[in-house]
Amino acid sequence: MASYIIRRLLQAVPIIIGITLLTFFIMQLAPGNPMQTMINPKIPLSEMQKVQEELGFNKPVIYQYFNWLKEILQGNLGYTIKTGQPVTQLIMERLPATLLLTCTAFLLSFVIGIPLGVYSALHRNKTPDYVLTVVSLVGISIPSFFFGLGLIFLFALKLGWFPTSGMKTIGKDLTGIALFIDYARHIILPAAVLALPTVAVVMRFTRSSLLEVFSLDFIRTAHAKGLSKRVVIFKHALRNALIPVITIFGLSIPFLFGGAYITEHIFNWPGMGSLGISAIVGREYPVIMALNLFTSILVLLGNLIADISYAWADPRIRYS
Amino acid sequence: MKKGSFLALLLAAALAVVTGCSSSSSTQPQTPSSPTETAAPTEGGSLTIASESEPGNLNPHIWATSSDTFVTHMIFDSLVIPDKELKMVGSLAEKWDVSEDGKTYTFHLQKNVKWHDGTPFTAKDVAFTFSSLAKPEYDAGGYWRVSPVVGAEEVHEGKAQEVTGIKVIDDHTISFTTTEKFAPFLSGLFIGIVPEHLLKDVSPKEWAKHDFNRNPVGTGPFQFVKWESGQYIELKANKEYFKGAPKLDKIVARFGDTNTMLAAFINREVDVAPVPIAEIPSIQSLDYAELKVANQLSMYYIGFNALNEHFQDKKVRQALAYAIDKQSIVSSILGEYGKVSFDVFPMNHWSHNPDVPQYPYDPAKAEALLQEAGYAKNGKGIYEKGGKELTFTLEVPTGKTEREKTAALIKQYFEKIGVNMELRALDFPTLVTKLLPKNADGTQRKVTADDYHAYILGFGVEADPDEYRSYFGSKYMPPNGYNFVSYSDPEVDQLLEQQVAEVDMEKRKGLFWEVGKKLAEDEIWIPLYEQEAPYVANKRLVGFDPDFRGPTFNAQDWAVTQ
Repeated sequence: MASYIIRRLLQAVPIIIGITLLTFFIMQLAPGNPMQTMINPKIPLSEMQKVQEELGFNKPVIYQYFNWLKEILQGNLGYTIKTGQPVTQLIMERLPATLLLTCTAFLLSFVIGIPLGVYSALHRNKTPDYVLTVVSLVGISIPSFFFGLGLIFLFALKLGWFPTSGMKTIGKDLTGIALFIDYARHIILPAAVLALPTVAVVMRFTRSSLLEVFSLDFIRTAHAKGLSKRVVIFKHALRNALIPVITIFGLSIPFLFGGAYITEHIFNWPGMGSLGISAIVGREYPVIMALNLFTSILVLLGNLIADISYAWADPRIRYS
Repeated sequence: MKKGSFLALLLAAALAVVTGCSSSSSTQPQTPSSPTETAAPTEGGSLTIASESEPGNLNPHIWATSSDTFVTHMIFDSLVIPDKELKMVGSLAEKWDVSEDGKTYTFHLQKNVKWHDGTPFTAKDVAFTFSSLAKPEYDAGGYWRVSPVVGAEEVHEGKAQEVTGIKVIDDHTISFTTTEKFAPFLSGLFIGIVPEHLLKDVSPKEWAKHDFNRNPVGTGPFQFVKWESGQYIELKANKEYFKGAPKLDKIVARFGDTNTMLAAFINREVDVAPVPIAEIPSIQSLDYAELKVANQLSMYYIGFNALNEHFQDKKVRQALAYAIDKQSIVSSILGEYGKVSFDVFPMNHWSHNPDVPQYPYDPAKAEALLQEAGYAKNGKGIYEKGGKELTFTLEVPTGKTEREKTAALIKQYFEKIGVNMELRALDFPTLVTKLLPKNADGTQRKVTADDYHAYILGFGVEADPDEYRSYFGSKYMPPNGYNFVSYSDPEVDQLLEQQVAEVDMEKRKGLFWEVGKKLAEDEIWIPLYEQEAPYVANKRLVGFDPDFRGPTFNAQDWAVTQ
């Protein structure tokens, strides 16, 4: 197993380099550089030109890329072009918020998705199953910005149950349980928006996987042995059915991080997503690249963890 | 804290609802002490004000944008500041004298001004601020402020160490001498003064990376407390402010998407928020909301590429101006928050000449002008000349709904008279690469007829209209300046150069009025409309009075009624 993990980690290196190379070039395909977003007739064009030259924007893209790669290998993610902030600091400031939001959404997805899937499978082709199927289809297809605004309108503006946006109540120094409640009230709506599509996917997956297992011989044997329905479902069927669901764990990580971009923007959640959106609009290459690098590493790690846990959950699978 | 207790109540109410104490579905958050209009403002209190985007940094000299000045206006003071009539008045400078030859400005500074850390403010801070902008290592967009001063160019080119034209006379007196008479000079001094004692050992090249940007010390009415990245910046009152202590104890500046901030306003989480014109009806019914409108000193226009074969002829440009029903555009899109514009100078600015040639909506006249210009309708009903259809593309930068809607209406107006216009939506940086094109090696080059046909943009004047020189002077065509419409007119050239040295305000105004008249005649820009910036404010806030200087420049006068 250890050699397998090491091999996978080594394989990840060229993949990450490939991803960054690709995104660097795609980013450069978008016309305009950060300095060009600032037209000011009072600043002579020659001055602007000088700044762009100093920043290396006039060099060939491949040269700029290797320059960036060189800095990365020395552990330097660079500085924002317009404001000179260290990108590492910028991301570290935003990372906890994003992790909090995505982990909450991640938990919600499985805590809600799996029981609903089981319920749906047990009531196959009956009304509750149909209702849940429709709900999950809606959940997968509803755009998150729309769902988010809808939730704000209903739960924040009309009912006043939750705050509209932000991560905590500004201007209050809460501690302990009060602080926890404050965070919880702020996170419920964005986490719900972020989790909805994953809940739907997990639910559908659990349902179909469980139904497949139900038709297998060992389930019939278990019934024949006279085991109670409860033991058959939860001890024998569900454990086997959940193995494919584990794959969803890994696959949902990039999905959640991607979804966080829009959700964070709508809810003014101070995470990496809202940072990324403003970086793209402002053509802040170092920030975009750093976020990209970070997300690709996370995705690769997510996949690796999924594969490992797959082997752990299903003794028939052996990596060598 | 009042706000705190309100939120605590809200929290309690919400919890009560969640735990099922109430089944009412219309639980509007109720304030315990709803503000009444008769309530008198109190001393102290705090306020939350929202902005669309987070500042990049809080050093006023690093590529300042409006999202930066939104906060820095409250932390820093400048030597001079434009008043409502755009006349420069003193701020850190109590008064100033101008020498006979109009080249030396001697500023007498306010005494008893202290930096937020307690260090006294002196003329050395002023000298330090402006000398730094001249240094060759400084490259963050402020050199133009000091470039007219004697010796600044030498320092900028690395040939000298000191800007000889900046002289500290004593602790509270400083003089600036310009190489030529330069009328816009004063307006360039409208920028925050930074403390020498904190930045003197930092090369201006490193300013952008210095901690000062995230933890600034100024002389202004409010003092920096903390910055929670992505969330808010907190400021507290500078009780020793030289113009008098602010009434509020605390101001929190929050940032976020406009719609989100508006929702936060409705929920009373913020007290002031910018509001898109289309959303105004949704807040008008709130009894605690008050609409405040800021004039922007900016106008929106269509700019033509004068090198394009169709637009070389000013009759075509005039015809297109007659073809647009500006009044309908304004009434349908902007309502009472917009005005039809005929002049390239904003109408609340002194450079605006009320008497420029106008092009009221007249499609018949538009067609007549096109025919005069030698165009005739072809089989498809489109005007053509020499076998070439009058077809062009209008570049429309995204991001401002009103502008995008306007472009769509204009397309219809042009189609009506037989002109074919395509719309191309693109983001602003992309448009810039068309207006200021580059060679393959990255250097700026001249604009050609093919780089673009026409575009729609807004243009705002900060305070001094000298910036029009770079837009319309024939020697400022790229790569030498921003005249990307390639406008060339000897009379305008002369007027624009003349106004620079004209320190007599009335005469200078006259020169600009002539420029406006000539530009309206030539119609290289079709002015479309001016748009105001509406803000919604909670009625508990007193003294909120946004104008072209931004919403926060008078924060020291704000107070709350509870």
